[in-house]
Amino acid sequence: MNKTIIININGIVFHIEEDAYDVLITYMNEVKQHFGNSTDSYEIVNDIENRLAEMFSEKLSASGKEVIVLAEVEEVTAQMGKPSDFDLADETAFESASGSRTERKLFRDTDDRIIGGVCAGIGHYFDLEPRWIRVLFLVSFLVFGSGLFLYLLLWIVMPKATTRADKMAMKGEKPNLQNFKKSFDEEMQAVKDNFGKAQQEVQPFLQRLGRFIEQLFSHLGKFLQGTGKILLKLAGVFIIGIGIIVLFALFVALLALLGIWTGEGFEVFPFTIVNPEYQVILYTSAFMVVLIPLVSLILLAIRVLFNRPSLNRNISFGLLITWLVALSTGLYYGFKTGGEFKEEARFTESIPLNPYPVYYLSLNDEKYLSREDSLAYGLKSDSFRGRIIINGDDSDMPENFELSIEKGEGKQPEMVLEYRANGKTFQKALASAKEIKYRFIQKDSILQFDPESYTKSGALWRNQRVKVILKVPENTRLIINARLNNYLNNYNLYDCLPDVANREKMDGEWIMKAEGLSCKNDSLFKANQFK
Amino acid sequence: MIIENTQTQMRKGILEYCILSIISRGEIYASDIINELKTARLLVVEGTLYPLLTRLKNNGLLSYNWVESTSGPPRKYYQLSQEGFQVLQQLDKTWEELAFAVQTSLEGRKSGSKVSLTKKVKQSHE
Repeated sequence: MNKTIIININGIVFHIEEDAYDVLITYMNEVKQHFGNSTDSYEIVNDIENRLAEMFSEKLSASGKEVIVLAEVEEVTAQMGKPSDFDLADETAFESASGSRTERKLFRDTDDRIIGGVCAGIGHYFDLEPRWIRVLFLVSFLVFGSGLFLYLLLWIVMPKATTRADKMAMKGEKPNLQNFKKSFDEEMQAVKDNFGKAQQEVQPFLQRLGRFIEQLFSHLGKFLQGTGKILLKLAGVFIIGIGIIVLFALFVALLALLGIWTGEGFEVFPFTIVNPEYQVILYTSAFMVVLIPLVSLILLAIRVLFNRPSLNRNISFGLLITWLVALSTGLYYGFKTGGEFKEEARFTESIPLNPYPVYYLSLNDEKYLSREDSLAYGLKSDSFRGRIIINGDDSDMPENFELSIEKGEGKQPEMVLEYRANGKTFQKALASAKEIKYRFIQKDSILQFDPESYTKSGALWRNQRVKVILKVPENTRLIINARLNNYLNNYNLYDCLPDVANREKMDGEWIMKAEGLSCKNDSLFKANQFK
Repeated sequence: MIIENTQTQMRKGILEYCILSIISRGEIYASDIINELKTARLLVVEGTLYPLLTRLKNNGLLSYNWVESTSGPPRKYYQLSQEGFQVLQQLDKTWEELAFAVQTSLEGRKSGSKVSLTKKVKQSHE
């Protein structure tokens, strides 16, 4: 009693005994492998499968049996011939078609390798001695470090020369019988010498120095090869270690961004740029875009470290597709987010000031808002003991406050606040602009400006900004602290200050004239102008 | 090794020439080509033929039709294209030249050996 398997060869169903099936599948794998690299591979293999199916059908109907047995598989495959048998005629035929020109192919030469056989392969390709390529790479490792990246890239890209035909194509030899023999003899020779090829390179030198040094060098060579491997493995361990740490950090960052623990996302610039609707998809795709190359690098390191075969082609293709999908998704939502800045809206608010002949203008030094202020501005007040820190100079927000000083029309000094924001539509932009809060303090003739404007907690960043226009009547004197210089857009406060070391915190005295603001002390202004 | 190399060199061109001539007679199925070649004692295994046919087809010398079969999957029936016929004509000419060259040199060898034999006979007589 035998187990049978049902197989389907190009649409025709056969029952086949298990042992016969094993032989058949091995045969087909050999065939596929044999034609694996040629462009017509699919068609040829299909033709052969079709013919096999036909021969099986003929045999079954002739014998009146239902099941294919081992003997039949052997007969049919014998008639078709071993892949190694159709090699010869095929390859010679190819040669007659392409003439006698032989193209070198780029392969990694793992017989003559120090690390991955990349340099040896390049050497064969350009017909140079591998040691010169090695020297070049070594120099690029040392000087730029970029050589390492190039090396790894080439290692991934260049296929390994596995078959004898590969090796001969790599060295630019014609793959015919004579050369097969030559190559075989060379391999036998290499086996006979139990030194590696690396040592063979230096052999003429060794022979001159005699047996003793030869042995010394061969030991040294082996030692270097050994340490080379150890260094490589250490690098592998290092890459895997760092890679896994970065991977873990990325995961934590993603989960934190998505608000897995806190239940809500980050409310800090620049995370407030992204619309919450897009956050999950945008962060996930950005994460994938970084993750996939990282995982590939770790897999490569594992491959080097444990001599694992390279990734299945389908998996690497899948990874590439996933990466491209993630990249395009990320870009799509990135542009979508960018579209939310399309329209700009502004509205203004005028606040009359109590008239004084002199105003003292300065930056509000207070680093936090009081609990009352926080509540008044709709900010979260449950952190920092009820006070929100104003970031001020070390803010990571883009600048969102600017000051300009102009001459007012009438006798009444006033402050005009111009709120601006962007949005997908004008209405949305205007709504964001209306949410902006700005604080300035007037204590008699003292005007204190906050270095930034505020938006409600949880609000998206839509380039909300405020422009404060101080309009004062002619002949009003202004004492302005130099720290406002970063925010004042129509005058340079240093024009009115002496050239001394700590002038960043000094006050300068200005006066509003018919043509605009000018320095109280004319000589000081001129001195600064001519410097 | 040298002899094997020469043999392969000789066979490789002739194989394609023979296949083209067989197909030139009309639509034909791959395994019938094999049978013809076997009769001519040129090929042993079928697997050799498929890559060759695919290559000739891709070079535009052949085309094929699918024909339903009672005993299995549909079969590819090959025929020569216009270009194939032109190539075949050129090959015919080349073959005639080669055949003449071989014939002449073979005859030369036979008559040459006769000459040396008669010389030897003469020498032994003297």
